[in-house]
Amino acid sequence: MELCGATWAANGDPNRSESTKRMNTVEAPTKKPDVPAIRTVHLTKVYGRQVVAVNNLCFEVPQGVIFGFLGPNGAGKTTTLRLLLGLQRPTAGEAYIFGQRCGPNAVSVRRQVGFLPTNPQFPGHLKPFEYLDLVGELCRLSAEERRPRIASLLRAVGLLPVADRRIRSLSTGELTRLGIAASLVGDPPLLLWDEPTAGLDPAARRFALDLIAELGRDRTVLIATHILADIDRVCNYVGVMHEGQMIFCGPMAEMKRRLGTDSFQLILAGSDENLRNFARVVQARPDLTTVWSNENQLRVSFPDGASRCRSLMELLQLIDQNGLELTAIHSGVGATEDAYLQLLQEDRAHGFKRFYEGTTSGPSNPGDHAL
Amino acid sequence: MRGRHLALPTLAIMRSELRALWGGWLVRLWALAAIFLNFLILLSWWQVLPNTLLLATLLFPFLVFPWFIVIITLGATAVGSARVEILADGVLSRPITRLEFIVGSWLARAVTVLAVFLGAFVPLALIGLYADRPVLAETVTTDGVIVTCILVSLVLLALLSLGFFLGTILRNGWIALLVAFFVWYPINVLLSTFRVEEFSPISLNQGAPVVLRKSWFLPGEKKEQLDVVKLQQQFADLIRGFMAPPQPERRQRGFFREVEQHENIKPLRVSLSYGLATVLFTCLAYTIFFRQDL
Repeated sequence: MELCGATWAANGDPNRSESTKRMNTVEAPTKKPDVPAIRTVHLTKVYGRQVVAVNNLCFEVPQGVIFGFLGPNGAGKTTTLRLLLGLQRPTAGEAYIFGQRCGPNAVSVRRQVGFLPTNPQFPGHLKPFEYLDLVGELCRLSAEERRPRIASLLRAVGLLPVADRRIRSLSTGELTRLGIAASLVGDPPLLLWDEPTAGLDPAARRFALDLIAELGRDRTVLIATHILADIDRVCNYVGVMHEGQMIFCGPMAEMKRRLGTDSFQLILAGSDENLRNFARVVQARPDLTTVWSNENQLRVSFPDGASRCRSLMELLQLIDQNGLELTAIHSGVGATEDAYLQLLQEDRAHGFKRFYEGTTSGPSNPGDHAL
Repeated sequence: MRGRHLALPTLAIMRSELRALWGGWLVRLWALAAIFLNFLILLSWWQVLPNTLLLATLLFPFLVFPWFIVIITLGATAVGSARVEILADGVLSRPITRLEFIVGSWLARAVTVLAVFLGAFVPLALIGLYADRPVLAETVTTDGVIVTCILVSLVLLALLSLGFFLGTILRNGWIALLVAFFVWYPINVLLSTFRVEEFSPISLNQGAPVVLRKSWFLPGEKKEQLDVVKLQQQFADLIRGFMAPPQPERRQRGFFREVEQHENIKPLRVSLSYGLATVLFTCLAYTIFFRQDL
């Protein structure tokens, strides 16, 4: 895999020594392709019998996907990650990574995980290389293996120019890059990144997203975030968490399709009368589902089986016939946002029914968790 | 090779913690202050105290006051609330066990405490012993110095472990320090009440001259000098003067009611008791830390 010019092989690092290869062969568990990267079974976390952070959570993340872990603030995403890492103990239920149970002393689990926390905290007195060297030692890598790897990682994340500075003097973007590098030191097959783009400027954000897409080619990546644009751009699998429960878990396309939001948003310009006429015409058509989100913004969904090109072409002709101008046409981000908000709204609307759904849902079929 | 890989995280944590400790102002200031205070003590008693009493006086800041505050602080802040987030994100989310972290962190602090103690005591003790001073000639055995250093080291490690335990259970360094202050400071009175004053650090400080004079590893004849015993009585009075106003008769019925009874000090028993306390506090700290959410 090519990472900003540095060769970085997920399972075939050229710097890996024979002795370490042997060690890893003995100690690292064999990953079967049919075993999910992450699996939780009725995972529950209650703080002090007062705050329910994770509520009977059952979901699976298949291997080799870029999983977008969505949810509003306080939904329980970070707590779930901490439970997976063994930093916290579940009140009930279990969590597994590559089939191995998670816990405070589950070293073999954490060896397979690269964790990037939100706004990572580092020992400020160290320099980037020293910190990554410490992380390498914690990953039980020998000096001859970790040092070339750290050097190439520093180059890959663009921290070579600041390698001689103390960590306390680095900017937020540089700290995130350092956190990314730290999560990759052990060359893990699973990455858990908690809000990797939080507080980053546009350039740093683009860098992080490109990196996620790059890394997702040969390993499983889980990104916990509430920034929908990020999810839409890089993820192919998504889980939506709300009030401690997973309300949807499945492929991205499935989420959009099930919620009928595989749609287009049209922004129109024209007189009020023309807009009203146009609204009457499109609402009369049975093959289109339209929602006006603003007086000049229209979201149009096409029914299953219909030719989207032909329908869109007809719609554009209607716009023209009614004397309107098409200012913009959007798809994707807006659709995900709508799908996400609709999921949350439906979850709230389910009311007490959620109790039965929560207690009967099993972890075997991820699709079962979708509403 | 495999063993080295297994110990790698513990050693890495120890090295990292040592760097952090010695890079911080607390340990640096403490080391300087400890050396400076012992230097002042040496100069103050240069022409007055014989060797054993001088050495015991040099041990006073470590055994009685004020350095126990620093040692407990070092232990209590190891896994205190301010550090938990850094530890969880940077260290404990990596493939290490909590035991490896606790051991690495404790070892770093133990090395720091012993380094400051030995650095502040041994050079000045050697100056006091080998310099030509106008005081009563008195023999200090090498065995005695070694046993004294071991005993004091064990007391300091027990203190450190107490701080470690309190910091883990209370999750706040300052509250832990406050609690430790109220536990440790009256310990002499408490031990005296239970007739086990032998284990109190103040008594150990008073008994240090006896330990220093004896030959512990080779059987030798007991050399006791009456003048020295008298001086030791004066030293004990001096220590009492530091600690509290004159005690009523009822409260002097401890293990060392008479100064000659310092002869009864049993280094092995004291070592075992402080060693056990160290192990107990560290194990309790680990058990609590293992069950804590980070």
